[in-house]
Amino acid sequence: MAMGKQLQTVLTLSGQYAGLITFGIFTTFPFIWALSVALSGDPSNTWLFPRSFIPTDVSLMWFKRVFDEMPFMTYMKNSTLMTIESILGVLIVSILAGYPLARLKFPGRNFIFVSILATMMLPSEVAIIPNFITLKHMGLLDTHLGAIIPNFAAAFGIFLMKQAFEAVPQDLVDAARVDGATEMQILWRVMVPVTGPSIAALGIFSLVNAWNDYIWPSIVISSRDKLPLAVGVFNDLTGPFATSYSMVMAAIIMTVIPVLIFFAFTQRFFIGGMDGAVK
Amino acid sequence: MKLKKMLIVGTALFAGVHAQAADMELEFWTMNLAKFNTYFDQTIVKFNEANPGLKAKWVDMNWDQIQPKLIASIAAGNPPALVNFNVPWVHEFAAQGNILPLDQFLGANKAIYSTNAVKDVQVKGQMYAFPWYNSTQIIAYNKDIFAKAGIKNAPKTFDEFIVMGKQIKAKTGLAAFAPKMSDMIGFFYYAGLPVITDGKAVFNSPKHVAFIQKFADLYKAGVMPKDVFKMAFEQEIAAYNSGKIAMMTTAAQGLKRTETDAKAIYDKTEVAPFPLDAGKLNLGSWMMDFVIPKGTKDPAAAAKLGIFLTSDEQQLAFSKATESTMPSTKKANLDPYFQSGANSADVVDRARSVAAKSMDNARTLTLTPGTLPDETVMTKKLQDEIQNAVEGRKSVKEALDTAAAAWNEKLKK
Amino acid sequence: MKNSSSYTGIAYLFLAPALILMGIFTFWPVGYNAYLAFNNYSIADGVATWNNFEHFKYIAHEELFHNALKNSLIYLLIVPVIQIAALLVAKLVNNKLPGMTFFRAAFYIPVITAVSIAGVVWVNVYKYDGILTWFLQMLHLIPQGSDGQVDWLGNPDFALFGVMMFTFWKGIGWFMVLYLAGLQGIPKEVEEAAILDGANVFQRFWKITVPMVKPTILLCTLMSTIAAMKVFQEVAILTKGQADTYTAMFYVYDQAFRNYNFGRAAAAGLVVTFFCMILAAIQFRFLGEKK
Repeated sequence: MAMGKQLQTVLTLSGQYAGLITFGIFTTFPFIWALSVALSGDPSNTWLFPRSFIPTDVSLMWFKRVFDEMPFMTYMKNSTLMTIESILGVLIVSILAGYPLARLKFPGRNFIFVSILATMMLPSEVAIIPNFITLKHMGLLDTHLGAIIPNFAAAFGIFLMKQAFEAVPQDLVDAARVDGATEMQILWRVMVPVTGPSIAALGIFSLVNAWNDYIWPSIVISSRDKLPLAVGVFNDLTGPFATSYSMVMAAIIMTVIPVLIFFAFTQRFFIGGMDGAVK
Repeated sequence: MKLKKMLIVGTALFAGVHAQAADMELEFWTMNLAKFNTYFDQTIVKFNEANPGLKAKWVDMNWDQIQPKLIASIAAGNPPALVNFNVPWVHEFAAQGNILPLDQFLGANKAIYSTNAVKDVQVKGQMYAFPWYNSTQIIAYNKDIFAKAGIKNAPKTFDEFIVMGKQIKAKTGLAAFAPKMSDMIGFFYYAGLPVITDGKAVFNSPKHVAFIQKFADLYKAGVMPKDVFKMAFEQEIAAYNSGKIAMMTTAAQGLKRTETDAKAIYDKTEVAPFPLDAGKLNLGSWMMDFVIPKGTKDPAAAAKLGIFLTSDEQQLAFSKATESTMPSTKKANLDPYFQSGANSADVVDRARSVAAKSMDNARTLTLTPGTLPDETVMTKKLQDEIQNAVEGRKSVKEALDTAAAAWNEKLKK
Repeated sequence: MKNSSSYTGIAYLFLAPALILMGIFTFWPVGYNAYLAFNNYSIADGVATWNNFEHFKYIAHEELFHNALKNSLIYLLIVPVIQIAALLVAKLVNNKLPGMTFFRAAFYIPVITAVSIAGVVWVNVYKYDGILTWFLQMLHLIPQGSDGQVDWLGNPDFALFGVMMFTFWKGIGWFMVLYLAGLQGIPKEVEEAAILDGANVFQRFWKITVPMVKPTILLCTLMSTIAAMKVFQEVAILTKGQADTYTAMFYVYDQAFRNYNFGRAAAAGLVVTFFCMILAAIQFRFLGEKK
């Protein structure tokens, strides 16, 4: 009998891992290709499949060339700064806004929520020109702040926090009220700790968004030394005079890896404790 | 004493402010030219020295940012002095009234530009851009594949081009070429066929049908890759570099990529001019230029910079920096630099001399602006129908008739 | 006990940063855009003239726009597929088995990769002689050699589905993370009790997991729906709108940045918004929390 159960477990586990590995290949194969091209000293197999998944003539020369031909560290520093500021901005605004929408009764609540939602449904490209003019009046053109501030009040972040706050049991809130806590204290002492996983998720989303943001920063920023990576790579390494595809791949790999490492280290925060986060 | 002090300070301030105000900054935008910073640095130094009180500032960006950024800055009231445009954009923006006519600033300087260059940027008789660097298509072919197909030389006429293409496919099984099918209007002009006459679409005439039929036959025989309509210059170069097509019809710059990414094929590459057809115009010439946006602070100063950057001397220096582009001025084009590489062992050098020789017939082929009431949609309709015909989903006549009917309906309004 | 009115002050205080920022950077452009939809706008002069719904009449007759709208609506088919898949994947990695960190990171890579790069690779997946053809030929599902080669993104019958697959690939990790966060709210005891009661995998999934992540499902479905209606970048990169993959937002973008007709673009944009709102209303009705 024990054998049967063990066999079942082994089969289930194998099935699970098989599924995970297959799906993993599905999600990572473009990245593997880019990595292979970036590591191939000899680019002649780049476009031959499946050959190009294995590097030809392994070498780090393309990575080195990226540093030679492009101010990579400057761009990286800009991206890092802008991303950290973005995350802070989004989190603060979303947490503050999500709380009353989720837990407080007040006139105009539904109207505000629907309006915020409605903004998600509009094409974002049309906001480029009005926002550009606004930034000019505020003197924020060609600044990092100007490049990220429109993203602070993101409907998605507010919506996410609202949903998360709604799921918090009322008794926790009532207990805190009975203790005489102010709303601000309830928010930061009760709500935020309990919705940790959602906040972490919002954090990582903002990070990826800010890191990869291209259109708006490219329009707002004109000084080369203020550009983030996402824009700098395309400005400097592509176009009719670009000589090497492999270099672009190497640059892209270097753009992805920092975020990947960050994700791997922090993902336990939005997976939380495995004993069920909310008791 | 106090009064004297005040006067001194006041004068110093006044002089200081005046000195500041005298240095006017002229910002000029270029697309994807960041790697030529040595050239631009020295050209800025030269300009500033020759024009006290003016300071040129260079900003480079990816091509897809130029239009949105320019529109935004015009709307916000702070456009730059000069913007690097291509020819179609010059026409579009001129039609909208967003860039300035330049004849008033050019005066006698107009004469330095080649006739074709001037024609390219003229809208209703006025020049709307300073012609800058130019390039034209040449044929780069893989000698090995040609040998295998039994072909000795590059085609000299468009018909030969097609016949050779079929021969290559038949004898080697490889596709022969991947021309720019995404610009069929340009192809019509190349073949000397009109697109609109007297406000009516005329591209469904028997001559047009026969022309497109050639492409349909090529596609069916596999002479062009199956996804040729999606291929932009990058994919064409990539296909050539992987040995998947026998010929590249590209500007000389493309070969630099082959040099880096596929040395083996680069060594087997030979170049030849792209044949002329009935239109007596090169296919795929692409001229870059500078425009002055409407609303810029000092158009006269901006024009000074524009004239400087596109002068014979500067254009020649720029061509030497890129090693693969041509100037749009008469004198610079005659410089021995361009023909010096004719017998060089380096393919890019040979390509440059071939391209230079072809420049006489180089016009950027594009529809006259303002002809179409809804250019995006109508161009797309024509392209979609031609694609249907070439890829075999419809007969050529049916496709062209459908597109012509759609155009005429919109043109009526 | 505090009464409602004292909450109002606090509520608006908390909402202030969001409302101010949104007011400046979202509501104002939206309002301006809506205004443009009813005018002819000239950029250089900055002048807008009322045109009596002309833009709306124009796009009502525009065959390309109808087609584009149709394609955007077809794109909605991706929503249930990606949601169920993301929830399943989240469930699959929601455990302490070795290697889970690696898998979660692997599944998230598509989200981190910029659309432009991912697009380049996927173009090569779908090339007639690319990865998909190679894969299917390897499994002998299509004829070998050049007979089996199909220009997957060139055929109007299924090119759109090819693009949808790309969106699926790009987005699944994103939703997986949200569902993972949501799954943390399900106490382990509930699931364990169900297993003891003899419920199998399917029953546990539909009767426990799904109901308890309802708020997350609503959020994700809504985001997914809006994204599907607004799809543009993926199409631009993979097919440039050819082979009947032209979507509504592509039309908006083309009108704005290639025709420079901002009024018409705004009108088309409003139509898309209208559809989004209807769909959102439906989803809130069926998936929303009843208070």
